[in-house]
Amino acid sequence: MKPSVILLLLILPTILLVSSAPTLASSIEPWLNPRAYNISYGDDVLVYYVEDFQFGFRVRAIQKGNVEIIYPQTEFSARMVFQKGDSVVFRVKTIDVVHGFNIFHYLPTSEGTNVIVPGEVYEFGPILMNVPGKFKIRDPVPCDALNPFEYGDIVVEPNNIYYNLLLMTIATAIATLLYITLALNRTFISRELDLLGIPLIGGFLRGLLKWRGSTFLLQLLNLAVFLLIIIAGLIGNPTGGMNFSITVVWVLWFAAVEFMIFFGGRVWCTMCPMPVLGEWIARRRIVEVSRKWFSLNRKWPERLDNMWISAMGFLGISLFIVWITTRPIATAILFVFMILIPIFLHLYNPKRYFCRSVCPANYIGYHANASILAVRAKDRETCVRHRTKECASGSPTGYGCPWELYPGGNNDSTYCGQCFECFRSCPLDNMTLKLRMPGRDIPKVALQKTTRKIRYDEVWMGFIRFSLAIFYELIFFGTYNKLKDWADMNRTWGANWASVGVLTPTVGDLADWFKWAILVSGISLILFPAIFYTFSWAAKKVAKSEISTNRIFAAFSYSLAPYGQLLWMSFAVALFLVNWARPLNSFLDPFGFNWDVLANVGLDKFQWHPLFEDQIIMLEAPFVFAGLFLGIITTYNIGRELFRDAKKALKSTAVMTILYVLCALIVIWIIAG
Amino acid sequence: MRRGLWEWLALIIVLLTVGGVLLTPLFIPFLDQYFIKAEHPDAIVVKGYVGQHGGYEPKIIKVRANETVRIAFYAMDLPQSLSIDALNLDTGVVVPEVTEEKVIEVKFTTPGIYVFRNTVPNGPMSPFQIGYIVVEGGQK
Ligand code: SF4
Ligand code: SF4
Repeated sequence: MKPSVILLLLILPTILLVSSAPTLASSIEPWLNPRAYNISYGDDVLVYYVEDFQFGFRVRAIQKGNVEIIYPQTEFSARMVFQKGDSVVFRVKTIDVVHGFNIFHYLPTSEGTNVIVPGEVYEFGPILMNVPGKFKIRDPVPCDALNPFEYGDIVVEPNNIYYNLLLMTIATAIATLLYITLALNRTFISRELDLLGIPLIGGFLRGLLKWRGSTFLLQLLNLAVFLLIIIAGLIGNPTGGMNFSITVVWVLWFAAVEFMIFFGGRVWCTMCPMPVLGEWIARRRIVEVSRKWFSLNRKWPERLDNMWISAMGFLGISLFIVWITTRPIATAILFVFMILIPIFLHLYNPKRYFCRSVCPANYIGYHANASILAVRAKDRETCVRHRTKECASGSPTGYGCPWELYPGGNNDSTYCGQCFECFRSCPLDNMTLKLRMPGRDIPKVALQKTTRKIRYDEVWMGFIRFSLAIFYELIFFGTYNKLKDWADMNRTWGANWASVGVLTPTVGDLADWFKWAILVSGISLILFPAIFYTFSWAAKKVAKSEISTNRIFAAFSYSLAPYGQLLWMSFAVALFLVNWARPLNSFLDPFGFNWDVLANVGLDKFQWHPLFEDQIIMLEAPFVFAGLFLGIITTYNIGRELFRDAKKALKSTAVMTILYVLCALIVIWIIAG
Repeated sequence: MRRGLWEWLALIIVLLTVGGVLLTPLFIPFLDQYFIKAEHPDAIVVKGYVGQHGGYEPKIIKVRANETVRIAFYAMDLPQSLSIDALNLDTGVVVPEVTEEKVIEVKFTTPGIYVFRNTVPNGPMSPFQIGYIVVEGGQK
């Protein structure tokens, strides 16, 4: 026999064997064989054989009645679709470690955690799928570092909630456009209320804000929490969900800040502990006002006086978000840098350049103009006439604006850190807090920032924040387990300082992470901006405008400030409702050492279970609609400033609305579809 | 410009706060004993960390022969167990945040070194999660 024939005879069976391996493996695994159980279900009962594994769930086989078995290929995502009225049995097995198996509404954690131990097959059901909608499968047992991301989806058709939400998205857009059309020449969202002018409350609030101790006390409290976060991250329980550093920062703070932005602008920056040590050292004072700096007091380089570092910092952190939100040591290291860097920068220049240009949380500033609160002059004319302008230069009672603004003339909240120094330094008490419609100043700000030189740093901060709002929803609550695995560099363990070595990735892990990093950066830095540019170009054509596409593109991008903010709030709602118990438990047991510091007063730790698990989707969706509404209205207002023509503004807004609606539909699809 | 009273007060408060929080690690062993021991004051507390801290904390327990001792076992990170083959004793799976700690009573009659281990498979480090019970002979 010829050698080539022998080779072929050897290779052929191998190829056949390998190609048939998955089917063979599926069919011969005893736990997937219905005859092995000796249990008879009715013909209309569906039996789902579900594998529980680190990072998710996988359907291995579906049995209809007692006979027919289908082996689905669901390697990538865990999604099970049923019809209303289906009767379903889940046979669940873990292929690695101990897991849990609970389903929102159908097998709720409040009725007990279903622990799945290796080696056993667990049966749940028959469950009558009588409520249509989308429900999460969740593993409530801390099984590995990525456990907080472990989800599967169950969809019971007809998923009318989803279809209705899709329709409502489109209806919101049409209604908003109609509203604009019917009141074409009206300037929307222009009203303001002087909060400190309200009798009694206003006076009290002004007194509080002018008192230097108010900011100090808030900063001190947060500084203590901040240092505790670092210590817990270094020496506390390596499992993120049990460590103060993770739960308080990435559930409580992360969710709270999104709401703070909308209701209070940069109010987080008022109390932020990150730059305070640097600031106190540079000022040589903590609460008093000094005239001498402990700082080189050099000029901040103009090239760096923008948001590029912050935007890239936020994107960079997001690329490691799976590690940072699950490994206490990663959060601790991040926060150590967030204290050290401002100290060094304040020694170079005593003003808040760290906050203006470096802090990754500077996205707060990007969205601040979408807030309903702003620091503004009570009366602009008074500021114009006032010669000495202590709000900018300082007085014995207050520093000149540490954020290097002229507060009296400021109409842009982006870089106003709400430190209230101008309230303290202004001898005429002319600074105040204004309550307004969200996005009121955005049109003017967008025009200013695209007139002489386009602020591409802020424009890209907008794109990064907007696209990541959608990505975070997908990563935190979606079922694309492979994606999570890549982002996690396939690591299993949580880590503190003592066990940081377990995070060392292999070359293959790094290669996987690169796939994830390229995907996320590609979408937020290139793909989404490119799509936005295309729509801006189309908007220009439809409006028959002479203005350059670049300028329209940049100006319209500011409408993502309110829209993106509302999407983040929608994410924050789900984040908090699902994980609320973890940060609360961390206050009773900060290091995750199984303490309960209030046991003596009878306060037990909370058992993990989602709040309003049947309503989460309905609580998230209104934020998406509100974001869409504000995005469209803001685009129209920007268009009016830009084109100086209501009709052109309307036409271009209609084009941009198509993009906004598509984005909203994607979000609705992720949360409800 | 000299510092006023408020500034001194603020400085002292800051130093106390920063110092207090930074020195917390020094008090952890004490607090740990206080908060954990409070539940089972008469038991030896053993904490299990899968694949970390050497698996169990403490890793070595000393008991005397013919003495009955109680071991309170806490799963600290992942579901796990404490099993003593020589006595055919096993806590069963203890799931953090889900099952309470398990308390077992042990009594060794023969002095020697005995191994306790985790019988729950939970990743590649499971086989390395072992601790030792040193049983000393003679009277107290
Ligand atoms: S910009 Fe960053 S560091 Fe500065 S106050 Fe705001 S959050 Fe804190
Ligand atoms: S001093 Fe500057 S940063 Fe502070 S509140 Fe006034 S304008 Fe904003």
